[in-house]
Amino acid sequence: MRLALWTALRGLRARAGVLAITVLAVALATATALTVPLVTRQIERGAQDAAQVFDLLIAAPGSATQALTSSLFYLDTPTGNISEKLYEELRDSPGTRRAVPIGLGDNHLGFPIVGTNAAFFDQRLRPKDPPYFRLAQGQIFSGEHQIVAGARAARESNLKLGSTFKGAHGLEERETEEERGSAQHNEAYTVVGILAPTGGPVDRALLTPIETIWEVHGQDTPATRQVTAVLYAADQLAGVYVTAQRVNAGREAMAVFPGQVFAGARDVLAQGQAAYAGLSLLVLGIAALTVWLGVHSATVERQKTVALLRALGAGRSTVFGLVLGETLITVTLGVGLGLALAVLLSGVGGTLLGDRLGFTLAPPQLTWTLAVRALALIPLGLLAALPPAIGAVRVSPLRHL
Amino acid sequence: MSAALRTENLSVQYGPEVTLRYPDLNLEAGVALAITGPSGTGKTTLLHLLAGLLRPASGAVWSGDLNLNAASETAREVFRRRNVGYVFQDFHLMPGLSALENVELGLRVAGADQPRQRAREALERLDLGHRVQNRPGQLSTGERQRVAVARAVAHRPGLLLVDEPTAHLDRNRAGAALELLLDAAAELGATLIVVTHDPLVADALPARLELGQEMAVVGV
Ligand SMILES: Nc1ncnc2c1ncn2[C@@H]1O[C@H](COP(=O)(O)OP(=O)(O)OP(=O)(O)O)[C@@H](O)[C@H]1O
Ligand SMILES: [Mg+2]
Repeated sequence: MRLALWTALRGLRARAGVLAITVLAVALATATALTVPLVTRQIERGAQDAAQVFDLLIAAPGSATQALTSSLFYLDTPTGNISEKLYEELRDSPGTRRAVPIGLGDNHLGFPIVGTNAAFFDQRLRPKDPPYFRLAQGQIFSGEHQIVAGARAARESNLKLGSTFKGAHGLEERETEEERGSAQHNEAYTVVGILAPTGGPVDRALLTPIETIWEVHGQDTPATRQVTAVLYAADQLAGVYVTAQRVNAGREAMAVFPGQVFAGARDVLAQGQAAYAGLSLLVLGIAALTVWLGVHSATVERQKTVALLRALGAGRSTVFGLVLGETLITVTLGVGLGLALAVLLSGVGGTLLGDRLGFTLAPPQLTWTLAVRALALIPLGLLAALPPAIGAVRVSPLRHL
Repeated sequence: MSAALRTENLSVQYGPEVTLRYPDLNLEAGVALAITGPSGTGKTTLLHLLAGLLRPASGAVWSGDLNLNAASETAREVFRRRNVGYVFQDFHLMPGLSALENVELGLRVAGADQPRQRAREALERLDLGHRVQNRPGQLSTGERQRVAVARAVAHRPGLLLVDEPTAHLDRNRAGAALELLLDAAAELGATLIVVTHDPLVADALPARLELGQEMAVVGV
């Protein structure tokens, strides 16, 4: 086998031009087929996970999408507020696993200050999973005006443990110094914890006890206290529907199933992805054809090499391995390069897209199901090389000398 | 290891038209034989038979105790890579490999240790130490021939088969080539069989097999 490899590598060196073209074709096809699915999955992972840690979003009546983009993604103005009383009812009703209050209204350098409570950090993707939000540094807030910063918010506004800042009114940053001065609150916040990146919207958030929000906005008596939304999780699936019905029956709030909103968005995406998958298949097909051409472009040369090797006394398994090995090396190089390229491109693409959306996407994750699409080129290449490999074993060495 | 070489009733059939019948050979280990005769009388074919590259229509080739025609394909492969050094009529060097790699290839097929080192030594012994990195296309005919000889002798075979070693050479170079082969065979103690049209070569070797028109029966 070492002889086959030695000869294969030198054969490929002698045909460096064809090798380069084939490797490039396979690499580009692989990258084309995988980059977009990789980026899509990055986004889906971050956005969907963020919505999967609870069952229902309960917010003031209005557009379901707007409620989600505001209270979950902090990208829009809320549909309104609901009373603290409703939040407490939800929290205390039987069958509730968790009710997490969300209070919006202020920002720091454009990063939303999100009022909530300790239950926020207990949210999980599945009941048995570890908590979804993990602290990278410090601890959870334990008093008013303490801040647990999302990974991106901390990094970009240069917040460390112990850093202090003053919050500003409104969900977005003010344009001018003057505006900023007048909009600023007087109480300083102190950072006590920094979250690990999630790839979701909480990366941008500055979390503080909801009591801080009430205090800052002068909601001193229980009757005046409000929350923007409640992230609700039930013990059992049936409980989710019961609660949704109960909330929607009242006038004060609406219950939004985040999954339904996402499913709508995904239907649109899926159509685009199907078209893209078809295109990828075509490109991979062309790559397979290039491999096949590469195999056959070298027929005469390879027959001479094989004949000489056999005449010198090389075994039949050696020449068989030589012919398959040349193709295997070519396709593997191409697919390997393509996978690296796909991860690189989707990493860059994900970063750019994450900047637009305002949260840091997790690095691209190459799963087997995705990689298999490109790895399939390897057996296809071997299949193309099989007839000449068998020929090499069966033909008399004198035939091509 | 050189061995006695013997043939019995050898004949080869190329299609319905051509039948080649050979007189029996009986060579002691280490002798040098010239095979001469007009073109088309089957000289190259006989070398193929002796190398275990071709199975005859009838008869047998014996190398010592090994009957090459009865042997399995694998046994013939082993025989070729261990015992045979073959200098082909047009050399059959690989154009994509350097002179050094061409010789190294032969040694690797033979399963030799330190193939690169030994290839370099074989080329140096044939005064090609300065051309080891050149490809065959960059070498003169005489140099290519020496690379082919280096590849044929580097793994120290017991049987050296050479097809028309002086066909492409002027008289001076032909003499040098002949000397090269005789020296190499003597050093290895190998049996040397040279197919040639060249009286200079034929006369220099102690034994001769003349293949005649009468033995090549054309159009039975
Ligand atoms: N593969 C083949 N198929 C058919 N006929 C062949 C084949 N190889 C050789 N022959 C025929 O067998 C005869 C002997 O060929 P061979 O090459 O052994 O002759 P040669 O003595 O070496 O000739 P030369 O001196 O020209 O090299 C020729 O008539 C040739 O045409
Ligand atoms: Mg001949």
